[in-house]
Amino acid sequence: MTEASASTTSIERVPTGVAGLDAVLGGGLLRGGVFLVMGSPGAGKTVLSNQICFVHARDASCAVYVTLLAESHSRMLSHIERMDFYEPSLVAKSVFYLSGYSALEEKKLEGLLDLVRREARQRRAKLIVIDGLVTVGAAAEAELTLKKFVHELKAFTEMNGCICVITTSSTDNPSGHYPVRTMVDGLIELRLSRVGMRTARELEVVKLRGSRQLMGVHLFEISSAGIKVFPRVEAIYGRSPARELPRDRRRLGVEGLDRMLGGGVLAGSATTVLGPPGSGKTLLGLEFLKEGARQDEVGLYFGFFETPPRLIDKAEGVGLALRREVREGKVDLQWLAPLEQHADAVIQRLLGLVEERGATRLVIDGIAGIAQGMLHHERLEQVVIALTNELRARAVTTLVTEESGLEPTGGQRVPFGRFSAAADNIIVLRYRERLGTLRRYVSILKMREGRYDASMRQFSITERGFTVDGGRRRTDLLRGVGGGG
Amino acid sequence: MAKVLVVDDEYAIVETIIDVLESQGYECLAASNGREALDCARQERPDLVVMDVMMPVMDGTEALSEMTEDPELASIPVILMSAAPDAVAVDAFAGRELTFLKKPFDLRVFLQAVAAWIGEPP
Repeated sequence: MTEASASTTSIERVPTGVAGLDAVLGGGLLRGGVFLVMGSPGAGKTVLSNQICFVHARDASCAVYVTLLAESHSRMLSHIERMDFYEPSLVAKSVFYLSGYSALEEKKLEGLLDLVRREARQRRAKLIVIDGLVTVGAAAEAELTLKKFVHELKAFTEMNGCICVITTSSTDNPSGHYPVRTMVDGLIELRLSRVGMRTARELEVVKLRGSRQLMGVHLFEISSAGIKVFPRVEAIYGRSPARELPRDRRRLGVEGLDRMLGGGVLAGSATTVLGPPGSGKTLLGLEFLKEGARQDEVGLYFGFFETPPRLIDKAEGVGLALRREVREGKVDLQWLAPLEQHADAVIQRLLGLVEERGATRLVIDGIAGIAQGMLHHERLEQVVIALTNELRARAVTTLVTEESGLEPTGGQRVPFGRFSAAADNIIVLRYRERLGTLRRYVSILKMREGRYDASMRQFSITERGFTVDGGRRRTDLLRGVGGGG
Repeated sequence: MAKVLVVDDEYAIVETIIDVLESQGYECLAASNGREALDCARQERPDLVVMDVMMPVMDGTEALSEMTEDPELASIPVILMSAAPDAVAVDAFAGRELTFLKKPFDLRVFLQAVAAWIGEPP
């Protein structure tokens, strides 16, 4: 007698096609698996399961959607027909909506199982949705009957290489779901969560057999495009650079400042520009992008507080012309109002634009726009670190502006922003009253690599742009900075 | 009394339609899939069949095709109903006595369609 050697093969993953969800699932749903989608009423279970059906059907595969005591088919279709993923031509050809309630009522779980198996086989469906586990559970005479149902369903899906998604309300009889929860291959939970005045849609892959899902809670939204999941930035980004970054420097385009920086900032580095309102942070960012255009780099401005036309006018007012660069696509000005946008969605959009435009210079104006979109502010540091690392990995030289408070005249406190810990370089802009006039000063607080001029220099913003004095070291102002003097 | 066979896998829809038709004075029969509908039609010879498209076991278009090919059932008018307008190639049944209604439909429109085929009860 010989022993047959067991060969292990990895189980194929089938992408759901739902934006962001496959990244959370580590690639998609396992072929042959049974998955439970739980959620409170209105959480998005029906949209999600329908969206997966239509994506599936578009790839020339059939889906059978079995309803029990949920809403009628026509009502459900009337809700989803406004969504981009809905294709009426696929209904009754590749996506079939069938009621399983009569079968369940007549022959209990066995009747429902027979219907599911027969219809899936007949239509060669590779995706089955059973909408309404609560009704199935209620028809089960005992917990064992329900377990047997799931067990036989799993055997069917595995043998036929299809995927089954069972949806259920998380508020109805949650303890009754326990036997099913232990038997399914994956469990996705959708929640509506109130944070202050805002409501967030949250998705969590609580369980996924044989896989490394992105653990934790991820936000999602439902729009005319259907469901879009935004994996948590710190869970998905932050890889180390795959290759050695170039050691050359990128000029900011302000001569005196570039001299202070030893020729500019290191390519791929992240720089915070910290300063009070009106100190010139945005203009410095625009100078940086204009310099990039001169060097044949594509630059992206991603701001939250000023619209592109206003920026262009503001820049022109100080002799910084950008219209041609914008027209030629060398500088792209993007603006997003800092309203109820989730930080993960904002960052995904930002990185998408960087990739799309092929940008190697980026200005984020300012970090507060991202911070305002965070429901849980304790994440900010991790998000910033992940974003910085990701931009570094993409070799994008980045300037991030951050507002600091107005300091009292002659103040000694050195401002330290939220982004600063992750930044490679910190440039500080400040005001000082001197002889009855408010003057602007720039200094470099930190530069991770290379030598820099640590002095504080006066600068001005005139019709000649951002100009840094090349004057002598202002030792009288240095007194007290960093505690020295 | 005119007899209407109502066929839909969603029992709530069957009950609602039967409720409305019986209140108007029609006699009603029910089936939950195309196969049951054909068996019932052959046995009961309804004056009208109101049938959903997407159903388990046998869907509405397949049942309609069989009815059309069966000399004993071919003359029975059919109202096909579906939530998906593209679900039925109505042209394929040209020449057949057929009305198509998109779900959800106004019950007044539905009753007018029924009356158009089999008249109103006295």
